Amino acid sequence: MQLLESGPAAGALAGAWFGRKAGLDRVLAFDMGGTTAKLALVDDGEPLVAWGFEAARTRRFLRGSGLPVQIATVELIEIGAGGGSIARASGLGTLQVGPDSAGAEPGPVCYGRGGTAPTVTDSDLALGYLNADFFLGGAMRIEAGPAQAALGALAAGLGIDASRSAFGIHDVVNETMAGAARVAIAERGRVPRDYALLATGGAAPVHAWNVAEKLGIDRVLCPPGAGVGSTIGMLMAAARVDRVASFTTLLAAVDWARVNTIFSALEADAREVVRDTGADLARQSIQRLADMRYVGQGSEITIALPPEMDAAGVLAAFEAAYRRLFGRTPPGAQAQFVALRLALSAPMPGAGGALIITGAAGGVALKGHRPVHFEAAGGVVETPVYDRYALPPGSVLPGPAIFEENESTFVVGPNARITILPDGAMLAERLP
Amino acid sequence: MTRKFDAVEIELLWRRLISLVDEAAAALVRTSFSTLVRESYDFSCIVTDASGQSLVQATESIPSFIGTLPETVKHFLRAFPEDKLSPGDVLITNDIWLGTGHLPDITVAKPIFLDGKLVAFSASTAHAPDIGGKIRSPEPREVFEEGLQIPPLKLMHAGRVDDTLVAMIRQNVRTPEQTLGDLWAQVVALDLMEERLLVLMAQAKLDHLRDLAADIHGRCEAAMREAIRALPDGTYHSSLQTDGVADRPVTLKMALTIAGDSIMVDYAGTDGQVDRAINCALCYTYAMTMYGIKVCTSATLPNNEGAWRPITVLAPPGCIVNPQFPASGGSRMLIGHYLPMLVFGCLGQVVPERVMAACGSPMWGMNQSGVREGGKPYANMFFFNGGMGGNVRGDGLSCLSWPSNVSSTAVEISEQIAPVRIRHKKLRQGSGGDGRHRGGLGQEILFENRSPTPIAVSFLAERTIFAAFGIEGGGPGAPGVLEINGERVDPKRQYVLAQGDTVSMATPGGGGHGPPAERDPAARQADREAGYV
Repeated sequence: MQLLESGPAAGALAGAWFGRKAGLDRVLAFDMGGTTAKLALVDDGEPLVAWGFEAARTRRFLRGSGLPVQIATVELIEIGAGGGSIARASGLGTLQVGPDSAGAEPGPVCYGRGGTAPTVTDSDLALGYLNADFFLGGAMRIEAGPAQAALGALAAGLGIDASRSAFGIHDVVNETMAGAARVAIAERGRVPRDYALLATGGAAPVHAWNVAEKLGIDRVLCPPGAGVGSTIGMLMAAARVDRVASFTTLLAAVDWARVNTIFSALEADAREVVRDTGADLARQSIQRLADMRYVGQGSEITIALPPEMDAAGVLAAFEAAYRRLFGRTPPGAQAQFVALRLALSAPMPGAGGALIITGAAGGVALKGHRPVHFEAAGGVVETPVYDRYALPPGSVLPGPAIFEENESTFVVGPNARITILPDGAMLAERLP
Repeated sequence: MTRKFDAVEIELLWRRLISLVDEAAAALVRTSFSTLVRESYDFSCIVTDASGQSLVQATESIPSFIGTLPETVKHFLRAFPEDKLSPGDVLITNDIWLGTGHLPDITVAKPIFLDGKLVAFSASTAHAPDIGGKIRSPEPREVFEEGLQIPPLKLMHAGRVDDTLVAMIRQNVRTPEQTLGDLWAQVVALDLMEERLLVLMAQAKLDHLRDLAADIHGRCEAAMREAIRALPDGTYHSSLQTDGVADRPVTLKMALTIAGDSIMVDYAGTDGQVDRAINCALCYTYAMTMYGIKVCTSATLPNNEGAWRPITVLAPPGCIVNPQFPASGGSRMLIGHYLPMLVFGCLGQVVPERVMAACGSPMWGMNQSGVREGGKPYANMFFFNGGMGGNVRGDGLSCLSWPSNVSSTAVEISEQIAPVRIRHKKLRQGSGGDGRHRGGLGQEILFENRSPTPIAVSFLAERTIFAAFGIEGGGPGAPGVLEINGERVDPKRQYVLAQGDTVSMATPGGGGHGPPAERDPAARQADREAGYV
């Protein structure tokens, strides 16, 4: 098996590419559509790789309900949170959002297609983040009135007022995504504020600012052409092949010549596959990794091996990685190898290219103002609304601000600075 | 002043709490050394407020620990009041009355301080692969024979490990690397919960957890009372017999009274404690009873003291579900796992659609210990499961743990860590009770000792005499069978296997639900084709 979940993986690769272009080494790629949100971590310009994957889950978000496949894939966290996620009062009188979705049919109440349960999109509309007259670039008409009524009914059942329920839905769904991100980042021994959030997909630019705030992230990047991000990702990504060899050996008893022999064989095998893709092997890069654990454990951690391999150096690398993950190492335990891994990648011809977006140059960038709810500002603020396509690179604008494009709306709260980068991406930074 | 939380805020805080205990549970699994934790998930992680009231528990915790762990934290507080605790302390015990009813479950808890004040505990119980003593079997007559007893003590004093205690544990268990490795994995989980909780409290501007706990408990209590109020008042009785020990069955009796929005359970009339390790300490009786009531009343309600407040459990001191010191209890689940079924017997009279036929539980297990060639001792416990009972909606599931949710140990793992070969492990044909909805199947496992050194084995094996009964006209499942070298043996005794000796375990099937005549012919055909009957 060589190909699995290629679409979402391409989204993460696009995140890596846009992040690199914006000079950001660590990026949390955040994609949110109608039913699901996906998160992927990009470190040093490379999406993180998972060494196993659960395919064909019978219950989409339930770990253990799928088939485990031992394949290297871009590590993606999938969450049942999207624009169509339904908000309701739980049996305990709390505001619950998702994981079930109204989808596109009947869809959110504001679509007017028979949906009666308020959704995330309805709350986004009520908060002023979405424009009823410019949904999908004006191609689809949505109605604020029925959405407000549905939110009001939900609020009455929960004993809160309507605006509280609208922001509550935004807050709860964002917390779900931020919570998943927090755990994923912590599992790698990192802290969220080292990352920039990269928003793609219809709903992510609407939610990214608040998600970033929850995580303590100060930079949010919104690339151009978010709807075609996956394609760009696939075109620009380096060709990469991962190979693994089982190697269950005590660290203290390793024959290093054998390790080198194994790595040479893995490398030769990987190079043959990459050569077939037409990638530039003269600029290949190779990572040598190992799955290690303490004797008696059932889980491994994957570590990058030091260039000069010896028992002391590898033990130091393993224990440093272990301590970063779990805080402490068990006294008196012996380290062992479980597997050796090799990743070979090489750039594809033309990957150094840039994206050129042709906008309506000379158009009027400021479309007007509308009242928008920002919790940080204590409520509704009269906020400027910009036509994203008309903003020339190099523009610098203060938050709060709303940027409209056909596929999405980028929402930036108060106390922020937004810069239009040369490739048309928008970088919003929280000011101290 | 009491802080109030609205519908949004409580949801946000609750989610963060669940997320942090789940993260701790994942870290515990990843850093553990025993198959009990990493394969069978025989553990729990919780966060409590300063008084030991639990706020959340990890999603994959096992039902018994949900009930016992918050109580153990309260016992720690009695032994070490706030003025005897410091940041960085880690408390430990495996006392069977304060803990979970048997010694292998080691509970640790860490007091969490904010600005010098005790605000919370992080706590974890995990089943150690060995705790010394006469390996886990029903044979011990007193708790002293069952292994090392650890009263409430400090494993760590303000961040410093108590080397004396660690040396004592190391000397008294057969598997020091695994037992202590798991203990340090539990400490990893405690530290993680502490760190995450303090961040959460700072962000949410909480300087204590009392009001949050009161809010969570208040909501759960109200929901539970509402669910109980919907049931008709009255006193309902049920009783059943278990295999017991040495051909003496044990009779369990329950009277369950619903009065308005509360429930009282009384075990009066249940047989007395025995001089074998199947006595079920009150902490475990309480947890198993709560579990049975909860799944019949408000199954999806989060588990905490609020949900349990409307329920009282009484058991006369000295009966087998409230045994007194120095009773042994290593195999207490051989009684305890029947208790939710007693609850079903009572509540099935008022909500028959919410209960299932009897399951092929208590879960089965084989404990082995010995000395490898070269002199290194080892010990391990492998779990196996019977079939579940049929219910209103469908057939019982095969080979699934109930009421515990301990996973069956995989063949590959068993063969890797113990000197055994598994000749087969297969569904046990025809073991499910007949009915409109058939009982789940048990499984058959054949072990062979391939070690030149002897292996001492003991078993968790029940329902070899009294089969899992059907309900609503359904038939019983097949009783379990335990054989050594092809001969039936008393499952409550310990045996020594020589090289080449075999153990055959056939776990009991679940009971059927509804008259067999009403079974869909297509389902019968499918059963035949799949080889289930």
